[in-house]
Amino acid sequence: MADSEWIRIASATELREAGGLLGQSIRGVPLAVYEVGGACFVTLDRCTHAQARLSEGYLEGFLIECPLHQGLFDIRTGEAKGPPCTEPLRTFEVRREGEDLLVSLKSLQEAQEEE
Amino acid sequence: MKTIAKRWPATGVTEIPYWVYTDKDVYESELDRIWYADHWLYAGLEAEVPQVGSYRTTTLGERQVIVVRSAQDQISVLENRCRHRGVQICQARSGKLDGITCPYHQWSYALDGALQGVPFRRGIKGKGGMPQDFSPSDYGLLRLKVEVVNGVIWASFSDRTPPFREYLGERLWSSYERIVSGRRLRVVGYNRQFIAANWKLVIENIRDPYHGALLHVFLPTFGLFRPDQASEMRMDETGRHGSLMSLPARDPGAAGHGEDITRDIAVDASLQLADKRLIEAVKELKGDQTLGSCCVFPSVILLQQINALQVRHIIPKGPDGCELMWTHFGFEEDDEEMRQRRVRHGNLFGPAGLVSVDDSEVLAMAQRGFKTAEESGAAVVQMGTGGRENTNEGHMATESAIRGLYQYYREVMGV
Amino acid sequence: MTASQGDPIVALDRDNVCALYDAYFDTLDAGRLEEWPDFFVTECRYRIISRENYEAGQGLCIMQADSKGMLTDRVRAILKTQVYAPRYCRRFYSGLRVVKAVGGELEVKQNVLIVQTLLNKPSEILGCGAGHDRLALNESGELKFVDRTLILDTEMIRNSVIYPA
Repeated sequence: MADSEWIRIASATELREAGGLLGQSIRGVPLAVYEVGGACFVTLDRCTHAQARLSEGYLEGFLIECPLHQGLFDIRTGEAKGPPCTEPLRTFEVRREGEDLLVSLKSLQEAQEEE
Repeated sequence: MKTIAKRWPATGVTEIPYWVYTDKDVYESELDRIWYADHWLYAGLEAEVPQVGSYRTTTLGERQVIVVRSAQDQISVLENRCRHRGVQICQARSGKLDGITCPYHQWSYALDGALQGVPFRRGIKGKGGMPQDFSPSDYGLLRLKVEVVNGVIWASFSDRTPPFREYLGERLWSSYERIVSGRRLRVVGYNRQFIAANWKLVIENIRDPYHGALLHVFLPTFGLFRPDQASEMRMDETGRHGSLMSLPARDPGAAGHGEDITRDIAVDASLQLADKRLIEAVKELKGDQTLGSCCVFPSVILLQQINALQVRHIIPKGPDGCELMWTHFGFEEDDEEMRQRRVRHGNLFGPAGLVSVDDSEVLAMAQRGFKTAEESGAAVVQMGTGGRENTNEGHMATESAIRGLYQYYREVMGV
Repeated sequence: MTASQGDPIVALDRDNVCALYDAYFDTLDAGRLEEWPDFFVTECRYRIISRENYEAGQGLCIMQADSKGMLTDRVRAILKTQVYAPRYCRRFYSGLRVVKAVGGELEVKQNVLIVQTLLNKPSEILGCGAGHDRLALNESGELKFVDRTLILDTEMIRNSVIYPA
């Protein structure tokens, strides 16, 4: 895949220093970036229930708990795992190149259209 | 629980001391011993909360509750008060909810009252938040005991309240079932009034066949009710619940009832209705009774008169007043003609009722009378068989059901 | 406002509408209840209905009639059978506007305030609401109510409503 199809969103160091949970806004799209056991994941930084910022929530294993109503999502699949959340969360394909964490431009553009 | 210092007259329930209707301590004690104890309270009709999430707010005793369909076959009755800082959460009379969320700090409860979401429970980036051992299951909305019986929602603040049918008693079951037989109900509308009278006067009034044709001049004038017509006043074994059933005397709306009894009560036999549709009824329930009531102590009267089917919900407001909330209903299969008939018959009831006005006005006059002799006065309740026994009788020259009520009242109140 | 020989038929205009309402409320305020049904056509509708019921499309009223005969029955009950503490009742209307004029019928709206005074008590607001009415000329060319619907914001009535408005 050509390099231009991927966008840098954060550094691995930034993420580690943020405790493995970081919120970033890239091209107007709010993203939540996670690190669990060395692997990185990215979802939209907006709970599908009441629009709170998941990056301000609580990460336990692969489950992100929304700070507002403690709803749960699996960060790997975006699946809603605990009430009151029922709608799935948008996830993004992520890639690491050295210190850089990248998401695919295509998935970012798709998300932009919905903003 | 408070002990009431006042003493009941030695004559027993043939006298009701005025302080029963006016004393603030007695009223507070009634809330504890009756309204919030092991009694069933009327909370609404199933037909009012048809879908999951449908809710109505109402008042039981003095406490506001949310009555909500929390699942397909589950009705929850929850105290309308956030466990966080006491906010009365639902401000509307009715609506539809996905969950119950307090506006102050967004504490969110599921439809069955379970506490689901406490914003920033884990703090913000590890700072602040609730203590580690905070247990949401300890802070759900207060849940009342609920039983739905033939489409009527009953709720109780006590877990010890026996099943509804046992609470009502078999003697009155048929009068309950007659009005709410399990047919699907449809609300015709609501009326609300504040009556400047003690809540128990409303209950006494429906258990007082004696006044029927004497106060409500409309009724004998237009042939709807007479003191000599066949009637039955029944109580349950405790005396707390009562039912009055009355068979028709003659064709409603007919002129000239010039028999002795009508002359005795000085009714103008020449008065005729210009539009008889005002009271013209069709038979729709079991039996030929034109009036059938079931008063379930302490909070409600279910009543049928002609084609007006109604719930009268009593909400006490201190010793000197109460609210009466009227829910008129019909059946889902009512045609347009029946709907219109029920609206016309509604004229007899409610705050402008051609019959009901007499009651709300006279009860307020009684309360005004009590206030002038609170400490020493007493109502005299001797009308009936020998005036001394609490029995069910088949005539209307009796106050036995009022004596029966206060027999129970004295036991439950310890007075 | 009766038409007699040679008089022009009352026009469906605002002045005559105001004159009707002035006369209507004056009749009621003065307690001339027996004259109240004469403000209506024979096949009329009269309602005092809570805003709660009106907005939910539910039919139950506080006071209702669907004929002039029923209005007369209401008057008879007020004067002869109902029992109630004596009171004065005074009505104030404002914001009268003719909303629509279609096929000889006028749709008229107005705000209404009902003030009640019981013996030895201060005056109090019994009800506050909006009239949504339809008026038309009868065969004699007199302006009358075809439908008078008073929608009350006051859903909690202080004891009783005795008199119409």
